Amino acid sequence: MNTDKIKEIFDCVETKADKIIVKKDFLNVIDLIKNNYKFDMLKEIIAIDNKDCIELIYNLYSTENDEDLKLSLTVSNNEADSVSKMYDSAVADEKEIYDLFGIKFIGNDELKRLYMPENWQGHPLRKDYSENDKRLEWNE
Amino acid sequence: MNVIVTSIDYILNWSRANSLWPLTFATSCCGIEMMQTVASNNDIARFGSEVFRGSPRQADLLICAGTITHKMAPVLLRLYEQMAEPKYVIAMGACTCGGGMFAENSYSVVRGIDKIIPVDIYLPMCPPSPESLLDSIRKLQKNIKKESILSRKSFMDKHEPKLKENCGLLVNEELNITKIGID
Repeated sequence: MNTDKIKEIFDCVETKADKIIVKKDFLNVIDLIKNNYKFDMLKEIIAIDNKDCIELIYNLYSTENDEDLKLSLTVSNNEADSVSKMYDSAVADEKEIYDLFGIKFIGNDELKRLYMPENWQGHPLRKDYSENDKRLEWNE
Repeated sequence: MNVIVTSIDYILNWSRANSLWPLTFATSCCGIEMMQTVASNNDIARFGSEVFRGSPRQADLLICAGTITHKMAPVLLRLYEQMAEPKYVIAMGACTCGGGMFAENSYSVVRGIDKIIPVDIYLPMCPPSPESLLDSIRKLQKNIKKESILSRKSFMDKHEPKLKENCGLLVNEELNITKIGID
């Protein structure tokens, strides 16, 4: 399955290099890709802060056909749809992205701090993050 | 009186200095050098510190080998307070001395463990070689041999952990940190 084929099937996607940019109906697209084209494994979810927007990249893998697929999604309003119902491995990844980027995944029930302390303020890997917590003044 | 105190000091200090049992506390890459110091090439057993304890209650020396983050800091403070007197601290590596390469623009690293617990010997390098760790243990032994039991109280007052109140992020209720003294 190549990227051109996907472009023929879905009218809501664009391709750029080896990346498929999904513009809308993300859950439907990933559901069809999983069930019809046997991409049964989610390797990882990557979040990139491009200053004007935050981009999520889903790395899918098909164990049957030994194929890779990259899906790209632009986040608006710091909210995105969770794929944790389809892929179990997404639970931890989404938790991590929520911790460090502050993106709320709708549908993931376990969103809480993973790496940072629970009473931490802000999400440190965002470009607009600046540490101005008064509780940490002793650390300067 | 002085003669008696001096001879008691001599015996106590001799026995303390020559059996410094370290706590196994390796938080990152300096821990590898600490392991190498224990291994046969550099053999820390020549200086009486070969017995690495898993429990802070049995240890005299805290070799803090590696970066301390905000999440690890309460654990370090708790381990230090669980150790019995007399206790000594070696800050091993640049990160524990002053933040090291995380000293600027890092959100998560504590800039030096002396902001949390008192430190006896600073050993900055990234990471220190086993020889320099042995050297710092020898220097600590020299310091211990100069101590007196009469001056121990003032020494301990200086060795209070510095912050608990002014740092709300470090101390949380779950850890329930309590003060452990000798008297």
